[in-house]
Amino acid sequence: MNPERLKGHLDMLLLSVLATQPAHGYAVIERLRNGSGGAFDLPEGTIYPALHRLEAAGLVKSEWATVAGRKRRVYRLAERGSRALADQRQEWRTFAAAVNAVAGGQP
Amino acid sequence: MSKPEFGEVDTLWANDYLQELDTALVRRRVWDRSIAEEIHAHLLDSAEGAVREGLSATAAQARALERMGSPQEVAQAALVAQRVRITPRAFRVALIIGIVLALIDILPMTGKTVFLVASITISATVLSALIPGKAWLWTITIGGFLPFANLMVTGRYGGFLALAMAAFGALVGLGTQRLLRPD
Repeated sequence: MNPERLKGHLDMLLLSVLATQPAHGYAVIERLRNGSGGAFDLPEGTIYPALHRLEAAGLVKSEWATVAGRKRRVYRLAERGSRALADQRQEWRTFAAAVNAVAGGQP
Repeated sequence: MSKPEFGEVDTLWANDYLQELDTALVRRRVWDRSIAEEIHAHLLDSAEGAVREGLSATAAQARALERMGSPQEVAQAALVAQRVRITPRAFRVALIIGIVLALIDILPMTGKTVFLVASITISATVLSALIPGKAWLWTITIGGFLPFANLMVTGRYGGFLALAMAAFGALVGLGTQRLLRPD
């Protein structure tokens, strides 16, 4: 899938991944890729600025931890992030239903 | 240092990428460079994962680098995120500057014109250079209060020159940003 298509939905996807459990960046990417069956295959390095932006907005929190002998920044969903995720999911359902209604039917 | 065995992933191969990333971050004036440390761990995780999938160490390293995206791409994403992060703060600063300068303008003081002109122009220049996409906003917030305050107090329209000065400063900031931008 063209990474450009993901841009408008990246925040929701990242929050969704972190809603299941805290993770460092590599684990976030893995969950995105595996969860989408490989469809979400964006440049991995661009995830970190997005995570930092979400943290600055108070939607996620992070702390440095040493995992398997390697220093990693572990991200988790903040309370504000949970509320934002609920809103974004609702908005997405409405949008997806509308698109399906118009473009998803039989020709 | 000994050469790694087949299937074993050492860490030196990532150094060129990280060096290039650091240069790209510096050139874009990205302040928070902790991303480089995260990406270092990520590259090693990614290569190790590929080795576990059966790739040779060399192929695993190549795949990890390819999936990461170019250092320039990552640095650009970091710059965009930085601008998004600092815009609300910059807006508050611009508001304060605009209001304070408007108050100074209506105070019965002499010799303040040079100070006001310099303050308006320089602050609009700096903010536009930092966040060029919002140059119009810095023009309005920095130069917008003074004319109206001046008009209400003195009944004169001369204060509207402040908007022109702010616009000039914003243009200088945009020009500076374009001259200094890395690509």
